[in-house]
Amino acid sequence: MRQMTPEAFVENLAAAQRGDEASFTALFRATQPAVLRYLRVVAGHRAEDLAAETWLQVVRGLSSFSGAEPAAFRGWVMSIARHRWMDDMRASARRPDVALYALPDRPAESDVAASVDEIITTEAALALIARLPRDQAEVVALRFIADLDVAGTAELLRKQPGTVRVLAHRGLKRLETILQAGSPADQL
Amino acid sequence: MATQDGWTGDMSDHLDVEDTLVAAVLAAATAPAEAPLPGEAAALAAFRQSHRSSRRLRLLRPADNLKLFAATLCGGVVIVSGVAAAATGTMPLVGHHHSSHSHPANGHSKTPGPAGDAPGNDTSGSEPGTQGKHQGPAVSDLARTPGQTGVEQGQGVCGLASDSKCQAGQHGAAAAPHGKSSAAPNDKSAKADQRAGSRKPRPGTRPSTAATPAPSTDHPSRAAHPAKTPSA
Repeated sequence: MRQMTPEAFVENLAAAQRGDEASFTALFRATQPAVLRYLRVVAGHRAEDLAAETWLQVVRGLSSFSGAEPAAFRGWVMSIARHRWMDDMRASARRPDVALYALPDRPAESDVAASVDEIITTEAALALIARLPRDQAEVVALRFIADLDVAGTAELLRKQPGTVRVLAHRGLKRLETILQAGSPADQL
Repeated sequence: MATQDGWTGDMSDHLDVEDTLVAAVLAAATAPAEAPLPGEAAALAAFRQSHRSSRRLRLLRPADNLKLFAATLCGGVVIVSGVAAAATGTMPLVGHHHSSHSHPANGHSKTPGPAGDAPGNDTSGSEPGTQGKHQGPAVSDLARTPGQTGVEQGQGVCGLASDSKCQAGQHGAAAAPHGKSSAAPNDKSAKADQRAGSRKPRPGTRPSTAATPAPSTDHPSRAAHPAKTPSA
């Protein structure tokens, strides 16, 4: 959603609600990466299935969505994704093993600090975040990947904004600790 | 106010990521995705299907309303026209045979009643529109007169309605010749000719083919009958 301006978002949303496929595709492409990455952090290998279920529900409720801000739409989609994930968790009655699934090609074990941008893939970064405690991982994913603000994250998680701030801070500190303990590849 | 994990109590939305490694991890996690995105085809198919069905529903609704409106309009027209026809008396109704006598000039075919079936019970000779109009109450009173047999009542009603030209109840023994004919009672052929020839078409009614003897009809009484309108 970061690539879409608010004006473009309003136009695309109105056109998609009228049935324009190109506009819906634009909304999908702007939102789906964050949805998929958030679900990879919290749901692991079930992410793509849950994302598909999420978009089915988004399609059903698109005509009734009335928000005018891109962040509101993003938060709405993330909320649907989170509910799908929680339903899936209740159904499976077990916590998915997110850290050991779908590991990307292992990054090179050279100088991590110097070339971290080149060696850490998106999948590796998501796997690292997924190693955090669940509430911290979820807040980090929503705050930094889905680009939700504190209020939106707090509303989605039904937590106080202060709690969200604390969880985000602790998550980042823990991530730093993990990274300092060894290279990302070693951590993975 | 620093805690064990370094939380300083900063309540701003902005969160600085000072560590380069953490920043690199977050940058990698938010890197632009490459198309095609997984699930795009499925989401687009769901979008197409959902919108097609909703569009179909939107298209069907006006058509349904139109059909409903047309059906209501047709039903209303039928009901109103039926009521109007019944109110103006233009509708031939069973049991209202005398109503056609009341409106002889309305151009509609006459539905003869049971009394009109009898040979010689012809009211065509009377003045149209004057006789039947005022005989309804009298005929009704006569028919309800107690102490008379059905034959007598029928005879009286028939005679009143036909201006004493009716021969009902006489069983062929008519005391007077039918109509204004002065032919002898036993002169049957002359009587039939007279009966057939004396008919004149009433104004406002179609000229009946039965008024003239049909060439293929060998029975004179059948030929002399007026055209019957099928009654229920």
